[in-house]
Amino acid sequence: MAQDCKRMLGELSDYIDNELADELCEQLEVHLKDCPNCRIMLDSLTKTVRIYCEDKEERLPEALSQKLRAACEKKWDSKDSKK
Amino acid sequence: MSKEQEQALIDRARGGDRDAFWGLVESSAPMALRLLTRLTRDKERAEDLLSQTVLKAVDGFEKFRGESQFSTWLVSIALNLARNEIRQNKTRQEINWDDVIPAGAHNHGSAEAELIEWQDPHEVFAQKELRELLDDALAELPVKYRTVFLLRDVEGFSTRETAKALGLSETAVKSRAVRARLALRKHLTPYFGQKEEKAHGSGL
Ligand SMILES: [Zn+2]
Repeated sequence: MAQDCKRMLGELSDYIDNELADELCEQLEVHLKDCPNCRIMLDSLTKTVRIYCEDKEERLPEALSQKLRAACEKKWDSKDSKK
Repeated sequence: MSKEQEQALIDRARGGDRDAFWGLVESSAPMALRLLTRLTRDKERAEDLLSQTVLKAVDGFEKFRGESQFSTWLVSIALNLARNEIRQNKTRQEINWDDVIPAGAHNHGSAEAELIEWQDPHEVFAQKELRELLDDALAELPVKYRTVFLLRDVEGFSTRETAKALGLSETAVKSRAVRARLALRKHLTPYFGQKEEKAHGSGL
């Protein structure tokens, strides 16, 4: 990877996050047009982030949830009795 | 949950409403469990740590000032508790910048190494294999990069919330995030890179 491209890795990361300033964004897009390496870098970095975000468990297992709630109740009761 | 909804629950919970507190826990605990599972790579241990986390939150709720989101607060408790349990790759605590970016292949006579294009990972691996592969790659990351990547990139914390949860500066969070991404990308490339190019490519 060329030195110029290496220097742009931080910007590339900001670009993926949509956090790159407009002006730099344009510069980067111009560069991307002419640089297959940076295009591949952008694509594979984007895929890296995306694939880790897939199929996340959004709920607690029911048994664990019940166990936790019961433990909380016990804790609250003991806190209340100390008041 | 919207900011307003969360604030309403926090207010009610402060007044001693147990259901309101539980509502806050229910919405944040799955994320805490995901993080703990990926950091410890041990489901039972993660569940145990989550229980400890929630009980600590019950105990210390008076100390929660609402400067950050409830989930950020809960996650920082979880990470503190997990600190000693997290599997650390003992030999390596740092990512070498030069290791994770493709080098120029001057000795091949061309100006720069060609990067290998990635396929769609789902086309190369079955779901279960894929998960293992991803978790293995993650485990290779030194913990301080792993936590930043999990919070910011996987759980969608802002740079600011990540910084708060970990007690870091935003600049540190950003630079760790870049390195984590590059290190994971490098680790995964041999698996996801286009096969036909792999034969004569550099593996990067
Ligand atoms: Zn380039």
